[in-house]
Amino acid sequence: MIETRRLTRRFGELLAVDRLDLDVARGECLGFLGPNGAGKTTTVRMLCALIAPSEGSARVAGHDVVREADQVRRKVGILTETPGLYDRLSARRNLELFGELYGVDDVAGQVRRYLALLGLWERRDDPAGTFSKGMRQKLAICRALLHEPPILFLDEPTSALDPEAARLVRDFVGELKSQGRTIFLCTHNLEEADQLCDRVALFRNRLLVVDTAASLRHQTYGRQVEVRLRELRPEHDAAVRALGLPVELAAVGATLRLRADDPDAITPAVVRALVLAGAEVQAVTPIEHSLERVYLEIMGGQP
Amino acid sequence: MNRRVRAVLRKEWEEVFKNGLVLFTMVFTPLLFVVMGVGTVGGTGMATRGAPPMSQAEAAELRKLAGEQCAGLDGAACLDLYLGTLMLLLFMMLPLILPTVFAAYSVVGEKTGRTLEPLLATPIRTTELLLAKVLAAAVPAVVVTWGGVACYLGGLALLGEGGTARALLSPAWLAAVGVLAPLLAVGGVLAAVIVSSRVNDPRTAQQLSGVVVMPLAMVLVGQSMGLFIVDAAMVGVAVVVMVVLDLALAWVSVALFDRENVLTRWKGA
Repeated sequence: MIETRRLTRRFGELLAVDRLDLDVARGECLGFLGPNGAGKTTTVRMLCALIAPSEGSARVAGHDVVREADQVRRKVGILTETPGLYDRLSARRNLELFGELYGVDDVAGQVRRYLALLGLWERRDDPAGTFSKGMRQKLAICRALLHEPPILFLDEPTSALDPEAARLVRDFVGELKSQGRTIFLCTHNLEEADQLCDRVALFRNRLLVVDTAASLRHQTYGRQVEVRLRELRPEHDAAVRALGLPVELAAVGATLRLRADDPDAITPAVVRALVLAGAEVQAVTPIEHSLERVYLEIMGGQP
Repeated sequence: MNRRVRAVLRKEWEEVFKNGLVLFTMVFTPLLFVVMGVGTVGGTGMATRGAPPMSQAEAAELRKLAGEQCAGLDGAACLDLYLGTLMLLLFMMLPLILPTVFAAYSVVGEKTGRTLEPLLATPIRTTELLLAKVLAAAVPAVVVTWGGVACYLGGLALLGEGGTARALLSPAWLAAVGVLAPLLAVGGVLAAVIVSSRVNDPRTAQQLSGVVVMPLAMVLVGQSMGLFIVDAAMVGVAVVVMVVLDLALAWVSVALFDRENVLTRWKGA
């Protein structure tokens, strides 16, 4: 649904996006992660045919973002970083305007449907300026969906929301994903990206890596298992090393950390050796590194 | 007018007319001009009625200021007509003043409310968006101007100055109010759009856009000092100049209102 080839954007001397090659499949949710000023918004703007690339090309829903900009705009829904609502207009009128602009056939029906879906129908005639942040964000999501776009660009959908509102929005994004829409999610919330996205792209003016969160964890830290003992003695460590397995061992207090390509295959042998050496095993737990740690590790290594 | 232009036009009117300051300016300014115009011309007429006639020297001085339009009129009638045209020139400022207020809020308001990006992400074309903005500001200004002039002339007739009111309905002034006023309004809006692309505060935009009133103010001063008289030829030239100027301003505005420009170069957008 989204293909970019050497997509580049310069602003004078500043290289905002450098030769981005990216493919996002139909129905996929891609997390686009990077620090402030990394060029994420510029990328989204190019993909929504709002600004033109300096070099390279991009196709969205099969349309070229430069030559077929109008068709691209009809196929994408965008949730900008700030909701950008007309505060003096009611929620209903905000949506009706965009329904007309997108050429929606049944504007009133679509407006009713999405306001009801996001719990705003009762407040439909209230000015958007009287809404809370969470309600404003929900109204902006309604606006992005009115024309039923197959592709959604969501720029920080839960930033500045309280945990309850953020959860509501996150759940709704999950629902959109289950409807088979392609979602391009820019976020600083790595837990959110981990929860919602099929793959994540780490980006700082250029694409650093794109993969599933699980695969990135594996590539960065390997797979690790933690074996907690009542007491860790030198003979326990020696017993495991004597097995000669392809595993890295590290002792942290009374805990032995194993890092291996396939911990599932070696863990039973390690536990058996420890028990035979007199160790009392209290727990065996796989270590799940957070995406945040992976992100910081990868970003930290970049200029 | 297509569906997208109509949608933006409706939004503009709904939104901007909920702004108390804009609404006040749209109502109060023409009302003030009507009161000033009717008060000045009608009041002078009432004061001169029954008063001793002007001296030859006074009438000659007045004719020097008022020119051809006073041919065949006595001193008092000439004074009424002279003042009447000056006040009518004041009304010609309305199509410049009102749309700049409207456009300043309508364009800068989009920037400060950060509503431009979602709007530009829709399939609306730059020319459609600009057309809607121009019509939204220019149409009410022209309607208010015409309404103000009608009230002014009606007020004069009510105060027994029907002759002056009829004299003001000359072809030159009909062309000025009917053709030149809309052209001035369009020029005022386009100037406001250009100014608005560079500032972030509606009041600053309004003040800078207000500079467009200066040439007309100079015409008003020129006529009041007898330097020239606004006649059919002058209105004709002004119409041609405004057509050319409006086209040039439209070209610049379309370039400035382009998506790329708005999102990457507009201050604060």
